[in-house]
Amino acid sequence: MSFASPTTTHLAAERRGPGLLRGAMLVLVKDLRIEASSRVVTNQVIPFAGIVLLMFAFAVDPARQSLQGMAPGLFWIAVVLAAVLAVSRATAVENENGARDALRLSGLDPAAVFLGKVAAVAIQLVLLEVVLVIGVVVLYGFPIVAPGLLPASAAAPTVATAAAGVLYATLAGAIRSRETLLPLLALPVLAPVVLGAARAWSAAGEHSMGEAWRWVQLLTIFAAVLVAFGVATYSGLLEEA
Amino acid sequence: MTGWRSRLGQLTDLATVGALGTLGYLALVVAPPDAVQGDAQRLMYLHVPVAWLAYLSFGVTALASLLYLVPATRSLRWDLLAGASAEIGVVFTGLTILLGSIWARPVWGVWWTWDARLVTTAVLFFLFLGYLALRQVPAAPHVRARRAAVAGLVAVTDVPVVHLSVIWWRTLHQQPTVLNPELNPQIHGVMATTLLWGVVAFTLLYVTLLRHRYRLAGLEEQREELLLHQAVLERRGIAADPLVPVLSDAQSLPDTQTLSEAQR
Amino acid sequence: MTDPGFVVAGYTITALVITAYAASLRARMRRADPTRSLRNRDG
Repeated sequence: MSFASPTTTHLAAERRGPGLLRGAMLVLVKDLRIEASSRVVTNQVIPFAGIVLLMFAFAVDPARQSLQGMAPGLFWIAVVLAAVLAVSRATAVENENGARDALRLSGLDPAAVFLGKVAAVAIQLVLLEVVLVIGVVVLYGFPIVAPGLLPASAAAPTVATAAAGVLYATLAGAIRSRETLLPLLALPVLAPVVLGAARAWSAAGEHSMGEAWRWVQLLTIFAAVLVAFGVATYSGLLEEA
Repeated sequence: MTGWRSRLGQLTDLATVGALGTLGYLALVVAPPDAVQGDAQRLMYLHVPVAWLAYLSFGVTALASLLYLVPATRSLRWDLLAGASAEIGVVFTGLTILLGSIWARPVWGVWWTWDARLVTTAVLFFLFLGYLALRQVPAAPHVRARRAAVAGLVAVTDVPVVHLSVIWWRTLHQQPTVLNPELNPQIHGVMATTLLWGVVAFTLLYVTLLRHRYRLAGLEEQREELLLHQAVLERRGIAADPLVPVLSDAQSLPDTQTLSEAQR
Repeated sequence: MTDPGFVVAGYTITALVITAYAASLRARMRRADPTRSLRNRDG
């Protein structure tokens, strides 16, 4: 049984799109341009994450000690919550004005589209994380003991969050209840990200580097699995009407 | 449905009821109370088989999702099977957690603890709640099937990572205080037999529930199609009484089997 | 609650869950029956 319609088969045969990396770059640049003009992440998502950080402080004892200990966990929860909003937005753009069809017919390899979108979301998340790190340092008094480990251990969870987010946001695609469905789908999958990334940062804070690296390794594998999964299945998801 | 098939189905139903009844007798009457845990240990005869059933369900969902995604074996049957099995899985994961809590209270003194198996099971529960919610979103059969298959596989892939991270989380920071998996190293012969019987009985229960749930999935699919068909007819204004042609169609589609064939 | 109380609660809940799920399957099966569902929709 062949599921491809005659038109898509035809297009696939005619496809002379750019290579994987160039295609991914094109999508990445396109998504960042959309963000540059709409400013949803900078003007809405990052402030949202900021207020979440502030609210966490209201919820716990304002004594600096307890906030300091909880800072890594609260930081990653804020990142993941904001990420769900950001990817929801990133794919909402794709669902308007038939943009998804345009993307599908562009001749770009779906894997390239996926990688490009993940890269775009990841870059926006990095921006968010930079702002939030300043937030936890200032508000919670979080000490940065290993400046090298911080970005290194943030890379894998960021990529994993972006990959799972893009994957699920595309799944939830044009569904009307997307805003409520997406968090339900994405948050349990991202449980290891919050757990692992927060532990890695805490361990670094306690100068147990070996433990921190162990978490980084686990999260790297997790991110790689999610990216590989997206690359393998994205063509099918993009084909949906 | 052919005669031997429905007869076999009825037999499985009966065997399941019998096996569960026997389990109740073995677990509550025959098996001796545990030396350490007392009567509370009898809850294990349910908890372990129920958890096994839940994991089995999700395993079947994962396998069926994979079979759907592989083009060579793609069929809506796998999708219906994955959905049917996941629903059973969610029901029994919930029950697993509930029974675990009821057992933990007298034995460990707490309703909940951050043990790796507990946390993983809870995450699993939410992963598949999301999966079921995704399945309920109306969509064309193959669109829904593809979405669900991807979500199902990601969910299952997530499980080992969650499990490992919770183990590390617990062992690296705080030593488990209440949990000691080796609480009961020597199992009395009757106890082992009862536990084994429980696993068999609940596997049988799974087969029975899955059979009915899968048939229901087929019927629901069929009903969707009929309603759609009817709506199209009404829209076109072709049928003055839409029930008449649709119902005669309905009767010509006897059961799930034929429907799935037709959809291929 | 004493130990037997927990045991009784566990077994009762399990029995209830299984029965309730089986009943829900049966009810949904009836609702999905193509020869009934369309009539029900109208009346």
